[in-house]
Amino acid sequence: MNMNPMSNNNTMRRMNDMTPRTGGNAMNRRQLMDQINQISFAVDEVKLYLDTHPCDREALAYFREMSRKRNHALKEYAAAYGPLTIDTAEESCTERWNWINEPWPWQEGGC
Amino acid sequence: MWNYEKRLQYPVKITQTNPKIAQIIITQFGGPDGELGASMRYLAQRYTMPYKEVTGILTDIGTEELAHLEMICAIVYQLTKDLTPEEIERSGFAPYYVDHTLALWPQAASGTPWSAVTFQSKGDPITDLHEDLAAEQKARTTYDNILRLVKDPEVADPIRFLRQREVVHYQRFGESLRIVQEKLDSKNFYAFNPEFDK
Repeated sequence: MNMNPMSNNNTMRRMNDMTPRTGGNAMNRRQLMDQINQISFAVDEVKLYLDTHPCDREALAYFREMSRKRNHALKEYAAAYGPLTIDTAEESCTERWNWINEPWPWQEGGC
Repeated sequence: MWNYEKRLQYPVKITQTNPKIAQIIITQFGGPDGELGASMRYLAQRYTMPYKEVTGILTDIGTEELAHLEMICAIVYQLTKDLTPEEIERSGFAPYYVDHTLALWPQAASGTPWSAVTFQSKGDPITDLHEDLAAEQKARTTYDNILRLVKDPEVADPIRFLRQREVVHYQRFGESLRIVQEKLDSKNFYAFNPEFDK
């Protein structure tokens, strides 16, 4: 976790850069958002199933895996392009409040 | 409490405006079987629900309906973005425009404002779950009706996603009703109301 918001690559983040700065797995913004949507949908779906089947071990294992992947992808997205959730806003803290910078989901380029 | 997530549950990317179809789809924002009513119905019913599985499903489906409401609003917004006065007149959008310009407001396709009268929170789990099962089917029919009128695949795609969710929610409410009935008097489900008679 980055404890000093001024210290690392976050300060060099460019708004329209289509290449995430995190590591070599070059997933562009569109692909990463698609992945977040797909993983999040899996979490939404298995969550409802688990509400009425709380002891299904296979579903529990699936939830655990998808939830872990989702949290990871949300952090990756926040660091590269700006936060989608308030809990990952810290990942993209620069000298500006990035929560309001990126387009809202109904706007062009927003979802 | 709720936290906002800055994305749609399923993407909405519409490149061609169509105020005529927007006026029909807006019914799933503020109409009798729309997403706003769906969310309020489940979130209202959950407080007195005595079974934890069902309280969970009402909370989680009620929350998902808010995400559906946002998708519907995104569809209507994109279908009416940057309209000119001429387009507004030609498409029959003027009666909506004169009151709301291009803003979102919860109404039925007929223009009737959203109303809490469109749903019940009855305080009896059998009654409320039957209401919820019916609500999901009514919304599914509405989406089927919309899909018969929509030609643009960019609009039909997210509407199909929303239609499918109604079917899944119906399934989960059916399981919820089974859970409730298993906890009641098997000889007479109506012997007592677990939300009132202790």
